[in-house]
Amino acid sequence: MIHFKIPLLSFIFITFIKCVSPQNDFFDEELMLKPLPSNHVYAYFQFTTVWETTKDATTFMKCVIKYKYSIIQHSHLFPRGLGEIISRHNVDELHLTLTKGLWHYQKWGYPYHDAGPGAEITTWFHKDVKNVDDEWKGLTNALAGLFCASLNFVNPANSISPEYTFRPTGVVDRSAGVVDSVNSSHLRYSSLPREIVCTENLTPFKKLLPCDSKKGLATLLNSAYIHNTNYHSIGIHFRVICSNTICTKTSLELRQSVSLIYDTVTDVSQDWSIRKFFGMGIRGACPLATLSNIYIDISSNNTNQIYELVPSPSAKIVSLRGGQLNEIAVYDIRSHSSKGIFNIQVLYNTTHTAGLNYPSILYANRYIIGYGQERGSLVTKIYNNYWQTLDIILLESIPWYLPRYLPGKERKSPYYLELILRLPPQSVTKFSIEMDYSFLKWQEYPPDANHGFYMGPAIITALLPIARNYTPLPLDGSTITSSFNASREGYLVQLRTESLLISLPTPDFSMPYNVICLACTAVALAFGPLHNISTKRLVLKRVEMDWKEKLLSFLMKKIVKSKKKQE
Amino acid sequence: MKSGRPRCVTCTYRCPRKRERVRNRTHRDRDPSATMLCATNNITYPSWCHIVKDACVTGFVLETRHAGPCNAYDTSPFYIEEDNTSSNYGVDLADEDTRFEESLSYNGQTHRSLALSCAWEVCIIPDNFAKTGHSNNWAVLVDTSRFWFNYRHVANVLSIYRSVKRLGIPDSQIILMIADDMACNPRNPRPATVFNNIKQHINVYGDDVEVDYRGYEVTVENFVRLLTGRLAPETPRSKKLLTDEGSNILIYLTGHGGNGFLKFQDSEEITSKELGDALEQMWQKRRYHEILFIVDTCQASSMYEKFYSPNILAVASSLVGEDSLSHHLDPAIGVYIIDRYTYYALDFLEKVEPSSSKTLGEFLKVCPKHYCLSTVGVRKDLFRRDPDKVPVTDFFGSLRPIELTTSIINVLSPVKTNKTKAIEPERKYSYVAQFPDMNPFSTLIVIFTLCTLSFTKLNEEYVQVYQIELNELKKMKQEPPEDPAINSFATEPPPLLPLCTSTGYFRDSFNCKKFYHCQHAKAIPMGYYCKANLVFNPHTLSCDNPQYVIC
Repeated sequence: MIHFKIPLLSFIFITFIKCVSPQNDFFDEELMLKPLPSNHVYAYFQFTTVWETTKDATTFMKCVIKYKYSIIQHSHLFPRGLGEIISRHNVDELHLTLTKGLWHYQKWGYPYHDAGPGAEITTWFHKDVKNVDDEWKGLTNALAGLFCASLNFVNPANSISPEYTFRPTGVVDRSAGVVDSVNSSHLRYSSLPREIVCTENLTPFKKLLPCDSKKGLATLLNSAYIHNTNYHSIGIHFRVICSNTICTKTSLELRQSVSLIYDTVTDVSQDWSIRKFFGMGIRGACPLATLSNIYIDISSNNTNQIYELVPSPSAKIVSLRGGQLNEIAVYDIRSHSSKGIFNIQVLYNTTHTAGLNYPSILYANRYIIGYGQERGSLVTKIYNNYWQTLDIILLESIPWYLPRYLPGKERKSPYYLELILRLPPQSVTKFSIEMDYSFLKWQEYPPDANHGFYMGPAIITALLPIARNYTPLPLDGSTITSSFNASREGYLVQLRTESLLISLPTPDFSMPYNVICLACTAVALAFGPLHNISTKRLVLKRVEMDWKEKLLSFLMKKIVKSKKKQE
Repeated sequence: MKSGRPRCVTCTYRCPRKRERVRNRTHRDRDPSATMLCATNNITYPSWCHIVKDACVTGFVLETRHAGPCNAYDTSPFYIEEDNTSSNYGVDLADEDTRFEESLSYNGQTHRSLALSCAWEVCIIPDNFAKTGHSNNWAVLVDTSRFWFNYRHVANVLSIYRSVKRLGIPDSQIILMIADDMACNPRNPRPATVFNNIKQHINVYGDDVEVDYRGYEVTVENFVRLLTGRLAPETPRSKKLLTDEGSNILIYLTGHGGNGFLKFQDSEEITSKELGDALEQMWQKRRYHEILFIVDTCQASSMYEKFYSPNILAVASSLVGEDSLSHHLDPAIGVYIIDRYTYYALDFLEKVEPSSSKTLGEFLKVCPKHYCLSTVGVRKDLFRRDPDKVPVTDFFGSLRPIELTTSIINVLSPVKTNKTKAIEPERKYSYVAQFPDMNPFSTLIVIFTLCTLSFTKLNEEYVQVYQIELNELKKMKQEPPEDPAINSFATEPPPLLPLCTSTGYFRDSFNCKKFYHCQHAKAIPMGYYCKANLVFNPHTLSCDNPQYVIC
């Protein structure tokens, strides 16, 4: 028993010392509320933990290999459960999203984090990892346990390592003598579009936060309200970032995000409030958070919609980014929550009015054409509304059961195609692939085979020249505040198209069909012999032999006779 | 896998010779033959462990035939399954592994006589035996039904989940298997909720549920692997039943079943024999102390008839030949909301507190025939204790072991940390370009297009790529995007003509060269185009050079 106690106590002791000494990590909680022209409201929560490890990323990883969990067990704000998995499997970068609903790029602009329907996971393993597939399997299984999601269904048959679509968003070592580590063989991407997202995924997500769901903005994440939205997506984004301006040291960054689209069109009044969306007001900031803010994008105010905010915000920020002007109201939760629970209301002066919608300059959709259950065609349409050409990367990933003559192997790996295209200005580009619907082995059909098979989205990556309807954070930013006034040369988007439901040729597993088959087989088996017996007669026939066979039989007789004689 | 019988992979059994010797010293008067076991190959082994070891080494499936040396008793090959001596077998095995530490109060003599009396008669259970000996509690709650119309089965399993969680079993010790998503099902008008009652008193889904196996993961194979602990090495901890010889396990199954089987996901089924074998394997691997097995399905009692392992109390919602019926319909969701047996079981469990003294005997009477409309079946013969003396919280609650120590441990002793103070070379990091540089690729695109086009000619059904040359584009007339609805069912056709909201000039949202004039609000706008090389400037309301306009 003592053997167990000493490490435990020493651990407590270490954490005790750590708590006294100043920490080198911080936690921010932010909520952005953005009324959209389509009378939806985009609510985006971001919980950011940045941990300045004294060691750079490579030593951190090496150290972890040597003494497992040696560093991660001293975590303070960084969730230890996730940290252990990350260090155990030597992960450099991890993006996991669990989404329900489809993001309408055209109506809603670009989200903070693009996410395809269902579960999506992208991982960069460290360059020292030898067997990436094994670590990938271990990682997805561990995450399946952590997030109560069926990520254990990720296997080589539905994972790809595309060359251009995904680049590491974290920093890489560029010091002298280090080989360029950006190699897509250490990248794995998989999408499980079938995955359902519900409370059981949100519960472990909230448990990763330093304040759990007891305090701060996370108290707003009530499952009944969150799952009653038009779109909801939770995400985990882990990467390594620079911790100083010259970038000689690194930090670990974990962004936990929740994206929600609320519908205010169907309501009688267009007014909305925190309490209406989340069921309760804000009780206070998480005491461990350094930044605890709510932002409301009020750019649409005083255009053709007039509304007022109650209570009035702590500050107003004007953000000019890539030709887009946004006015943002900032609420500091600490100063507002001193009198107890507080609620932010947006009260409209007019009845229902739609905002002006400037459609996003790039969007896409995808669908299946064709009839029958033998073959079909997959069509992706990409819309460029910009007045100049746009360069994009299109990643088409097709499950193995829709065979195509692309690199890929049945039951082993999916088919995928990466295209770098230059879209002409003001154009629609249509891209179609013909595919066969293969007939699976009977054990490969799921219990509800007639429901159909899901196919993950295509991903379109582009560097947009302007930031119209653009929200994502810049590459070097960690918090929502870093996206204000963040003009850059280009604005990266990774659009996801619809996931598709395909009905493959499915045998009839139902009972009547099987009974008919069995009865017919029985009849056929009975009928054959009966028919033979009643219509045919067995007659002995003399065997006619040619000279070779005669010779052979003669020799055989001789041999047999000689053997008999010897006996 | 189908049989659920042990098939050893690595033979790493270490049989407790040393402990046996110690025990023999303390109980000198004991007959050594009482610990002997006869296996199905008619060989006498010193303990069950040796049987398992031998089975592993030889590769044959060996099971305990009976206690004591071979040929001492009946030599019927189906001794254990046919005869009711499994309690004898249970007592003996229990003595072999777990009972020993706790059974210091009684001596070997009474024990042996007990073993013998159990072999032929109904057991007379001494009082000190009825004391609980478990050290932890686990729950395996399984809903095997997919599809919305089986909402009630999910409500059943979540009712039990709610109760065990409320009574103190932590989520880490509850394995919840739900074959389909009802809470966030598109047909559920109240997202993220599952109710047990039309009046919506109790949301059994709660706000912090953790489902360990869900959807397609709920299979017979996974269930049997979970019970027997034969999971893949990468299986996460939350999907493992990490029980030991001191674990009381509540196993609750609900779904559609028939005589001797329970369907999983409408596509496969577990038979009662397979389930019995899996439980026997658990017993042989010392994976439980006692099991409360509850099954709510049609002809439920057929599921426990083939059990032959000790220390199992089995409850079924209906007898063979009877259907288990649902409780009531909720017109708001259009399906039956819960089954009768579980409804009344939850009704009972809601009144139980972690400190209450309600017994299992009371729990077994929760649903009399005039409530359930089916007869609740109970199998007590494998269970060594009197259910009327066993608290409900032995299975539905959780016991947390607390160990008090009087020794003083010096917390301030120097702590050795693995600090590697290697001097790191100065490093330089940078972010990677998120988008490849296009210039080198332009040639590649052309080559690729040529290749593809040639392929297209070779094989007509190959991928079609339409490359439009930039030179040609300039000659082409620029047009607003084509309505995608012409060729497909697009999700969102762009509006071709905007509606006027007020009087004035407006730029087209797709085409900067195009603008509209609105005569009045809600009028149909007049469209105009700027001359070549000019775009409309919404600030000056005139056609302007592109460099002065944000487009």
